[in-house]
Amino acid sequence: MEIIKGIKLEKLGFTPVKQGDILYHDGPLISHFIDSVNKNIHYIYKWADNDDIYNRWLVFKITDDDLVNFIEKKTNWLNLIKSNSFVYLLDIDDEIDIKNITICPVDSIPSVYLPSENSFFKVNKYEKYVLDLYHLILKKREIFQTDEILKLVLLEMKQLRTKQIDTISLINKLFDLIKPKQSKFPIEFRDVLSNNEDFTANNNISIYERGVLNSINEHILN
Amino acid sequence: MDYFFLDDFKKLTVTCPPRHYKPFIEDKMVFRWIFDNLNNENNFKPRFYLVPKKELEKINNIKNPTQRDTRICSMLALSMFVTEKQAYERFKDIEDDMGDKIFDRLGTKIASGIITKNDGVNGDFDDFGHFNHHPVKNNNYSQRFQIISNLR
Repeated sequence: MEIIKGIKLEKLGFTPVKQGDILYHDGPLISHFIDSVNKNIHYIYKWADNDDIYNRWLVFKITDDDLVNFIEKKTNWLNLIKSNSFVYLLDIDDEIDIKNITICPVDSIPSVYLPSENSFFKVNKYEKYVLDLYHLILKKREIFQTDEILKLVLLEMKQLRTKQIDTISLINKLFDLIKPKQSKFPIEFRDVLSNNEDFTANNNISIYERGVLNSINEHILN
Repeated sequence: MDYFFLDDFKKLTVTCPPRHYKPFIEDKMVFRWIFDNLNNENNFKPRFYLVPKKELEKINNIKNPTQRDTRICSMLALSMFVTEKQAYERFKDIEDDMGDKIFDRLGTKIASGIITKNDGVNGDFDDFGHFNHHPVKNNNYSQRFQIISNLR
């Protein structure tokens, strides 16, 4: 096997859980794992080398976006590997026990381990699992985006309420300035406002409502 | 048929080879990736006999017997290609992703040979022209196949 320039580790800093095979020919060649603790972190295991005792796997981290970009042919395996500062190289024996763990800076990966510039996604080249994974990520992203939109709308609404209160407060001040001498408070309008439970249930809106009522009252009755 | 891996098939809970696997109607030239030397003992060994013991244990631990034995049955087949071009292109696709070391694992040459209707049964051809072949005993493929081109 190739000699690796890197730092030996006692154990991995994550617990890999296999999710599926991406490329397979007479056995897995590229597989997808996630961290058992942080399930949003993806690890790609790419077969790299072997001798009589060990199979060596090159392991690198990628994100949801990386996976989507790869499947949409916006990037390739080579760029995904090079976007990391380092990779893990795992020597695994016949008993599937990890015997050596090496952290290897990306620039020191033996060139014979690296994919080519043509390592782009091709339909049908990979196992069906890849497209299942793609749709899963898109679905996750869709839910996330919906949540984000809802959050933004709620924030906007909250700001609107605040602005509305500010506006009413300003109007009240204006009314104070005007203070017409003679007016009558329209009972119907007051009833409509006070019967609106949604408004009166909220303290802020009660202030708002009270402000409006007071302003109108003062404006009309004075 | 007196299959090469008949003893293994008998241990399975699924029909192996699958019922839809058929012999070729007439002699057919097929293609397979092999290592430099035609006498390399791994050239015509199915995946089942090449994987690490623990990987086999993992497969044997699959709870669903149909799922487990379908997988083992597939691992007892030899990978073949319909044309030399398809054998070459599929290898190059994999090489693009894997780098030069893939030659050590999958082979360095393309060999071709004639498979007759008496040599075993074959699965469907996939999009790459790949298919599974379950050979009979005494097939003597290492003598009947010839290296025809390089994968490097």
